[in-house]
Amino acid sequence: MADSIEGLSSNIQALTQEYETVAQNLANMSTAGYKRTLNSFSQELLSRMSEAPETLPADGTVQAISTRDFSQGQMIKTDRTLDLAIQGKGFFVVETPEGPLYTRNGAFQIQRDGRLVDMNGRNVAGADGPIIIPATVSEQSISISPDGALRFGDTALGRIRVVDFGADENRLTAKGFNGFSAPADALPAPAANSVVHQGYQEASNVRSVEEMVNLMVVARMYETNMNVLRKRQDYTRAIMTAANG
Amino acid sequence: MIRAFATAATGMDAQQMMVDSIANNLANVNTTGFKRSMMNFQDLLYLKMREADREVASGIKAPSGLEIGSGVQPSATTKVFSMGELQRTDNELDIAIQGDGFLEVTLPGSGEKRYTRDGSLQKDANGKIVTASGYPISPAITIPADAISVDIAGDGTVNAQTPTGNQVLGNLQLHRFQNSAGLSSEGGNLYRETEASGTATAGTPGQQGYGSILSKYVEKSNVQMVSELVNLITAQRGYEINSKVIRAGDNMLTQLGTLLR
Repeated sequence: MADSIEGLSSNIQALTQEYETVAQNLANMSTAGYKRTLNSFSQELLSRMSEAPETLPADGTVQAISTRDFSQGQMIKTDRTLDLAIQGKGFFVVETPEGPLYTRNGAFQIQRDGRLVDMNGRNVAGADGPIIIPATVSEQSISISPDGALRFGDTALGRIRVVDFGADENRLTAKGFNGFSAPADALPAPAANSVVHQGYQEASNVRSVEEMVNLMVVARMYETNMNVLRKRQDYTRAIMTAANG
Repeated sequence: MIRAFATAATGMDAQQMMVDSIANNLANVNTTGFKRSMMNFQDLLYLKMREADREVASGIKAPSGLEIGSGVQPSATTKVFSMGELQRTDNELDIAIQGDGFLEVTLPGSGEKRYTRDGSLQKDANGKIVTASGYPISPAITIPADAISVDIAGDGTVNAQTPTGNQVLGNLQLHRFQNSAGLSSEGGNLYRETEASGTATAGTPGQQGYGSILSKYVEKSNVQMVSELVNLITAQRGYEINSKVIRAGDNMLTQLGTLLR
């Protein structure tokens, strides 16, 4: 029997972690630009069990792997002039004192000194530094073309930087507040195939049905592990009773 | 597990706030000059269990890390200043602002200035032009008692036809802000200037950056009922789903508890 107490306990820990991932994803189902975290531990456990029925794999061969799924979320029309959504691969860049952060959330506004900022007041990076909107330009008349260039009538106001990480996308870590940070050696390149849509927000890419199914599988696997653990507890108790006469 | 409860609770809170905002929008679907608000959310800080790119064995780096999130929080409620539909009325004092800009009104008690998009203007007992709530617009314009009719041009010039002929009574001015979304909503269709919005800059209707005045029209609320109802359904489902997360976690915890019996 391959199930040891340590194996069972590590299964339970991994399931708890997966449960927390599901909770995080579902809490963020309405967050624009949110990218869900994938965790397939419970599904793998379940598929291993169906191959060898009656045996719970608790030998540490099933690993918990969590990755971010950067797939495209749906475009939602909001008609707000400064709501932007990227279709395709790419990120907006926001400047923070600790360095640039990358985000898919394009809900921007104008600070009172004219800087284009995100909802947390962080500057949106333009092609040459922060983008300043002159006071004479009205927010409703700013038009943003699919390559990120801002115009007011015929006057160019700047260009929003959209960058792409290519294969390094998986090395981004989430920092909260809709931002991702990149490791020092991952250099972004200007995004080639993406389109910026004005007046749209990119919906969270959480699939609630999938998450609910994961939730059910996690709950069932948890119960199964608990049952095995309880049975071992009973065996141990029976042995101790017999040994003590 | 308990952390996940808190996460799911933030999710429920967020959906609740969404419903509150939608309820306000829908309640104001017929309010002249009303601008709908939108909720924006952001994810909370993450607990790093393992950093991405860390060395697993010498020279081998794990491609992804393990981070546990703490849920969601609202980042802002933004007012969407898109144009509402224009509805023709036949009141000579009704105006709609086509484009950017607000009318400035003076509060009678304190003399403070407020701003509004509601152009259902009326004449008070002294002939002064006031809003539907009785606040005089600034600069004040008074209509003489013997005026037969009044008309308001696209650039804000107010003309009165009197028995003695045409008389120019004054000019309506529009005021703009660097960041209209930063205005504080005071209720009564009024907005107040704040630090975030920047100071009001006055201008003539029709000049660059300012909207023009459309006489005998009012601007209806820019709330779109269908999208608000769709958002309501989404928020309701989201609330329910997050509560299921808590219930599942509760079941798991109960089993943990029975281990020690």
